[in-house]
Amino acid sequence: MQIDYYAYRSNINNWNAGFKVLLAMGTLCLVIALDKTAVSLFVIMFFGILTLGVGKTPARIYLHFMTVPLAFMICSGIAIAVQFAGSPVGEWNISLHFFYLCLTRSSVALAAKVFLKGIAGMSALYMMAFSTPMHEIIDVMRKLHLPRLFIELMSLIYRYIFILFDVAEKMQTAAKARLGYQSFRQSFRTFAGVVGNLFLISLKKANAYYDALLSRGYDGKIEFLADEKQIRPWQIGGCACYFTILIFLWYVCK
Amino acid sequence: MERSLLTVKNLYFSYDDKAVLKDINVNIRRGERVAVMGSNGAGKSTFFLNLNGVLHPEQGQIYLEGKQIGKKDLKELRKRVGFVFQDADSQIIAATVKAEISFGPMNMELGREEVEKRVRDAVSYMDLDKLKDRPPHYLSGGEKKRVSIADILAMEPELLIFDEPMAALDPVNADNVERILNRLHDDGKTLLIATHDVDFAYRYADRILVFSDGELIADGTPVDIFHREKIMERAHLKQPEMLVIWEALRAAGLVAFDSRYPVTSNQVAKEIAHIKVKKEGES
Repeated sequence: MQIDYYAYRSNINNWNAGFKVLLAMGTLCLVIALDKTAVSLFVIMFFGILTLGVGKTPARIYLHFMTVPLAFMICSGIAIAVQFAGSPVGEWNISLHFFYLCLTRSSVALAAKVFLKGIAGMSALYMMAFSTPMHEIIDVMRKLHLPRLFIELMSLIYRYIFILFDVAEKMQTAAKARLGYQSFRQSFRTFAGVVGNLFLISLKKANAYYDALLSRGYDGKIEFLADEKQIRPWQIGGCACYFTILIFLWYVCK
Repeated sequence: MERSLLTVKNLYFSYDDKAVLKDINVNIRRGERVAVMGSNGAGKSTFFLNLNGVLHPEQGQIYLEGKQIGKKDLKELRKRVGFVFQDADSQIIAATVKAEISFGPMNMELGREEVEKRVRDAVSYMDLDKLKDRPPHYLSGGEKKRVSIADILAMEPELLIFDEPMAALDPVNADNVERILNRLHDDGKTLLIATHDVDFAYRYADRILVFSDGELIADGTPVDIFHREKIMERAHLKQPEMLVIWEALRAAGLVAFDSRYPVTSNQVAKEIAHIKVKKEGES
């Protein structure tokens, strides 16, 4: 939800959405396929500069969102780096009486590599997420000829999720004002009430929304006028340079 | 007399077993400004949904310019009768203002250029240029209302239905909406407006329809309706303030007993100033 808000304010919001999706997805594939630390480091830097420097997404927000996958990646990094053994092997080890926790130089290197790859992939995806509102990404999917039902559902969910959150928040505030969240037990009961009511309200509103659709001539398909943002020559040039550098780095490190 | 635009004859409608509309007969003429009044649950919204082709009358007929509307003409009805919902959020479905306004015209299967033109016209009519690429969930209540009106304008209907257009708006935004309604009237649109605001209905409408319990209990000019106490009582209405003041001035013999009925506070103020001038002249 919050990401969407920052996407609208990003300076690279005016770039063509398909272009950004291609850039992010292409990078994601290359980072995995090329599998080089240098490539990962370059990608992290490149997209960091793109999102923070060019897009002007606040660094605090960017770092905050980075910590979410970071936690997972640190956990999996540890799992890769640490090995269990019956005897003290590897460069570093700790005895835990029954067995040893061992770290070898190669396992640490592998963990670091995987970790950096993960971060690189995330920074590419975050560049897309922090600069492209959801509906533009849905438009790109439409152009890729994904099933109509899927696309329409996505766009309706995107619209209504904001209304749902809005109503839920109002109900929660009203409950708070009546001391509904005073104790732990009370909070549980209030929460159940809010969720139950939310469901009933949703059903009722769904009818009103459907009437509103019909009254504007809805007959089975939802279509809007979509604006195409222009791709500029320098963007294509930059993109080509970027991918060339990636391949070049890979070639040098081989 | 103006040509009739929409005629409703013997219309009945019920939800499940509950009769919501009973024997409604109305003839709406082109260019009229009609206020539709009545307490909550009197059947106004159901009436509107029938006029707009979303609900189908159980009995009775709807005629558009004399042509009876059958099941196959519903699309035509929805095209030519636009409905602005009370809650803008229940109407808005797209992710940007521009996309939102294009939804109606897109459904009408117009060419892309025509859709673009209509969206452009509606955007400039409702003064939404600055907001056209914004997502609806970051708009204020007044802005959303303007978007929901532009939605319908882009379909270029002849008859526009508004369900309580000023509800939940601050005074400035409510004034804005009233100005828009005036402009629409000047541009020759026919308007049907549900409202609880007696002062607004009194100064704005040429004609008032009063609903109570699913029946159309009165149909007349504002001055006529607001003098019928029984009707007002049944429909939970009260006299507009300007009318109360005017009647008091009349009773006190300060203004002439003629057919003039000033409707705005400015008009009444002018009349009062006029009395003072007259009195000073006499003494």
